[in-house]
Amino acid sequence: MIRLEEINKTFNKGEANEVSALKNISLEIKEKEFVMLVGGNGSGKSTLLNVISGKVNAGSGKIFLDNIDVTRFEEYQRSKWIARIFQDPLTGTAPDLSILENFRLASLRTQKKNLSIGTGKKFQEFVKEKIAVLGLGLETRLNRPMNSLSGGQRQALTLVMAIMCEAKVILLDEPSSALDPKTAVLVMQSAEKIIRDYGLTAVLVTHNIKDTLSYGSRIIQMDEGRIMRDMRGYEKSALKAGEVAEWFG
Amino acid sequence: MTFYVSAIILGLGFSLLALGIFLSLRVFNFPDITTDGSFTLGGAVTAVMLTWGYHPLMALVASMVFGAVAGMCTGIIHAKLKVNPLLAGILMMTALYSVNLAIMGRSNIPLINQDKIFDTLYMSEFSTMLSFTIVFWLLLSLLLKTDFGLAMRATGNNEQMIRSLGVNTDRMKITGLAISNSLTALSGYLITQYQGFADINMGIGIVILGLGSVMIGEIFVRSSVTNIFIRLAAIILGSILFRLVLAAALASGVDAGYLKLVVALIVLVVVGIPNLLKRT
Repeated sequence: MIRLEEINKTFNKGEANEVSALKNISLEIKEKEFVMLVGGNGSGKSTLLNVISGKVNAGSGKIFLDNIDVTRFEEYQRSKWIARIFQDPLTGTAPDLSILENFRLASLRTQKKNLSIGTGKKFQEFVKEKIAVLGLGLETRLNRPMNSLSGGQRQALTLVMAIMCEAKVILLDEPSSALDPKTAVLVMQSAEKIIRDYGLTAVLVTHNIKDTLSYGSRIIQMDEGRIMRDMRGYEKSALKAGEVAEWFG
Repeated sequence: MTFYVSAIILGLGFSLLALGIFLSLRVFNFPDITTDGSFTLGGAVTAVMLTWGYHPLMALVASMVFGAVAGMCTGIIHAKLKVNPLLAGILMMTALYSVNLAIMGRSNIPLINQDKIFDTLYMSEFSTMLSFTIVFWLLLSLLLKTDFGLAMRATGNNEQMIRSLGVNTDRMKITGLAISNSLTALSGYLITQYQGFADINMGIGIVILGLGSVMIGEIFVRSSVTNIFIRLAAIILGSILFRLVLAAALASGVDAGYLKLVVALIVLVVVGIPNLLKRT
């Protein structure tokens, strides 16, 4: 699904503060894989996410999505495949618009927004069905403004909004780290459920060691722009919290 | 009694301006004071065209187009030249003073014998104003419910998000300010014909009437109401109430010279009291 070939990325090239953020990264992520990406600050995990999404251009190397070479694609062109979730739960939704209206915009994604009303009965039923997956009871409150919801509820809805289009890849950058522990669990569980139910390929950046053990089918650790560890299946499930903590020295 | 009827008619006439302010201030989060200029612009175009013998409906179209162009200019100054919203509005408002004077040729144009929109439609002043208000209330509400309208509202609400959904937010703002100021000019068109003259100073401080109406209207709707028809209806109600309170103040013997002071005080009360209550 996602294939990176010898990706290098250097910031401020040739200057005193030159940073080599990604060093010769080659990586293949298969369809429906759920990767937990861990690493210390400055290890290159966010840059990796940004290179995949197209927010940051790779200095050299190639990127494939669905076996299509997207190296030269702009971020908005890649958004056909990729949906993103950010740390701040407020970034993904328009606060004064209702849940329904936010979903309408999300469903149009990058299509043209023209002068027709698209929030009719049929669309409402469609959204209700999608939101019901969360099990938060929000499907009965479609006309409430987003700002009347908690950060966790908004983040959970942002997750569902991400799957309103046909995106097959979801990139999550610390989606629960700005939330209280209880809501954080809710968001992580919703994320896992959605990724599983919709058969998405996911990369999730996190600092939470417990999360790396409880979720995902694969774990990748980065350090100084390199992939240090890459485990999946039995190897990952056998990991203990203490071991992972040791990685960070 | 006629005193209060006249207040309601004015309230309806100014409600279009209030809807325009709602669009710029609430939808786009853009404190646009081009209003002072574009209101007079609407009045000036109307007075000149009616004096020249043009049909009132022609004057209607012309004043709205002129208003839209004024709004577009403010939008372009802000979006393309990156000028702060308030300054962009002040620049346009200042420039429009001269433009308006040039259009009018003198500082005051009376309309006495000319056919007005009320004569064209064979309707009373009250029903004309009411019809215009209802039509534009429906049009604006419907517009804001369309996918385009949702993108507009999201532009002022979460620009980052809507841009990631492929919307050109600069173009959105310019379009929004064009619509907003054409509504303001429409208000100038109606008020000029109702009062029977256009004056170069008719727009001074008019932006506060719109702001006040929006804020009074919002007292009646809880913020959890997302139905745009109700939100806009409340603003129209706010505009009418505003004029009624002003009429009551005048009737109780307040000197007309203090009217602007009364206006400022009313808006201050509407804005300040809720904050005072919230704190306790």
